Amino acid sequence: MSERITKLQRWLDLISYLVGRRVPVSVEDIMENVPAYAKKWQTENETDRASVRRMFERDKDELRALGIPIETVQYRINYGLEEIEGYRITRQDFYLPYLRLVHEASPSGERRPYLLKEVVLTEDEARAAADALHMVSQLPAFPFVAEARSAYRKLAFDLDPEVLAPTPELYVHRPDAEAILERLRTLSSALLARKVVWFRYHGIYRGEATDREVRPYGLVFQRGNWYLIGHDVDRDAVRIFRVERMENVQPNRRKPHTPDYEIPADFRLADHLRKEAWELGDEAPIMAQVLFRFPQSLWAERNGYGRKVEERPDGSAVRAFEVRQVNPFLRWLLAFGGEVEVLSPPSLRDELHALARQVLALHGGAVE
Amino acid sequence: MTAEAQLDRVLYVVAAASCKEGRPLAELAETLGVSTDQLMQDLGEVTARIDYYPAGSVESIRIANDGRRIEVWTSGEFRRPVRLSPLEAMALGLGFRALAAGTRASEDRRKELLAFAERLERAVTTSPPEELLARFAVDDGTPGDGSVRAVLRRAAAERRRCKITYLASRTSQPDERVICPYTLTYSNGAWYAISHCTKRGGVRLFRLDRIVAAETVDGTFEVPADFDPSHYITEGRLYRADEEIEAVVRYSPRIARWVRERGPVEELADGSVQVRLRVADPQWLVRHVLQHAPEAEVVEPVELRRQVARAAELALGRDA
Repeated sequence: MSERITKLQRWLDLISYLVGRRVPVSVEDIMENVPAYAKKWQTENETDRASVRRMFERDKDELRALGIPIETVQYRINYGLEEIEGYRITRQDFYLPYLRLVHEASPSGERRPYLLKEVVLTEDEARAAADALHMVSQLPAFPFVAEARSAYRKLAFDLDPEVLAPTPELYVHRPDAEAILERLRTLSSALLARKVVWFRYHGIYRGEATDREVRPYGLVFQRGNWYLIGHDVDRDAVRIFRVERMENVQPNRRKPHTPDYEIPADFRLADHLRKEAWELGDEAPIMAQVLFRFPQSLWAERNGYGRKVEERPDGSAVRAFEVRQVNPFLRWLLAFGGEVEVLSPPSLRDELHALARQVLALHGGAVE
Repeated sequence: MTAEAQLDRVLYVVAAASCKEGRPLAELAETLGVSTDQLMQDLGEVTARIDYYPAGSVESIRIANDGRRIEVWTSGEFRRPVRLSPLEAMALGLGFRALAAGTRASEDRRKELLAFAERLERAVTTSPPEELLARFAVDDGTPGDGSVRAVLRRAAAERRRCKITYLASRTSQPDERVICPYTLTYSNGAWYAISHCTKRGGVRLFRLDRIVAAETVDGTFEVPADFDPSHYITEGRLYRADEEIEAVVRYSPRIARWVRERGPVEELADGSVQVRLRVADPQWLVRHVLQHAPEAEVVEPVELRRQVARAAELALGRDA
């Protein structure tokens, strides 16, 4: 048996000491009664005492960050003559409330050891919660899978597993998911602590790689890819980066507990969601009109690509697009072969044709 | 192993196993997603001090652990899981918001889901995750207004047959089919329904963005016992194995680095890479090469090279 008290033991001791108390306890009580602190506290050496006090402060902060509701309370002693500060954890705040499905009877006795609130759910709601957690825990390279699973375990504690059976859905992970997860772990920690990150960025069709210094504002999963949105320090503007194209992601490791920056109050992550690659660029927008032949016109309508400006008798449709990045737009259009046609502007049409000629040349076709 | 993760596991195990006869060790380890060794180590730390009395209390926590079952006696605290941590609450909230975003067809359903999410988040967490939810977002790529996916999800969950209007690639007319959706699968940014197709009499993949309309029809189905969605996945891609062709694609030095990350490649002297791909749908490969224009080239088979060339000619408006 080791003499050393591990961090887990210290934390459990501290929580045990505080939980379920009506009357708060003072910091001196904690120092004297929690074994990991008591040893040094009892030496009565001021340096030792100061060091365990600091240890307690750090433990308190870390446990609070984990959601352990250590409450700081002002209370009076000596017949109300003296006000001091104390700590406690109330059961209501600490334990998960009892969850019950609406058609079930409330269980009693052993299964309800404490006086806690009850949350009543419909089956539909319980299934939605299970689906929500199932979805994120399967999401490729999601950096908080452990948290999603742990949340599911807690919610499933009282509920019938049948009701929580998720909808049969499966997310396929690409072979590079592991490498991306690694970068996302670094990026999400930096985002949560608001620390600057450095990385080398390869814009896929944009020539040379560049070194970037970015203040992370948000992380987004969309269209099968993870994106970092942040303030690019050298360009002094908000930019969006595909995590897949980053290399050597390094956070600022100095002063890990002090944020490097503030996120502007008017920044909204939602403004960057549900965007296509050609809508994400920094170029001045070009208005393009594209003809979709039938039945691709149905497909474009069904999936909401562009805005319909005209429907023709043969079932084809003209749709308008706001293009901020030409290259991905052209490559998207090219994949339709002859099913789409750029009507305007002529320059865009020419560029699409130039790209098609390059493909043709590569594949041995006759180029005029 | 961090103390954070250990604390999370220990608090869960104590709550779960503080019942008559406790719980099997293997079951607890599986629920927690760790090895039984790891779990034994966690509990070892708690029980290292044999007569462990929580500080300042007269009640003991006793953990019986015979290597197979865990049983906990505690007359005092920890007989219940703790509330969701901020990051757990964020994971839940992200999932709810993605589900809600996928139901754009029904504003009522969307509002209902978000209202429930907020009610649950307030009830089960220490502090609601609003601030964290402003930093992370997930859009799981539900195409269109989400109505087709909503119909298919429900049908898959309840094993109901569906009638769909499908736009197969390179067809001139949408086609009506009755399908039994076994599972919905997300791959590289697109949703698919792996389904039994009654018209073809076999399992087929249907891209959700190509399903123009869907409704459930009379009749339920059973998923065959030997159905395994992983049979349709290779190297992170979804495909049907019974009609595959093999192709070789060359990627230019410019994009070679991204191709290397995704799987085995053959390095060429000029810095480009070649990849051997098995594909079920040649049209998929034609689109794939066009989307990477002009950095990708079909090397073989010759027939596929012709198809890419033809697609390029059509894009030039030539009736080749």
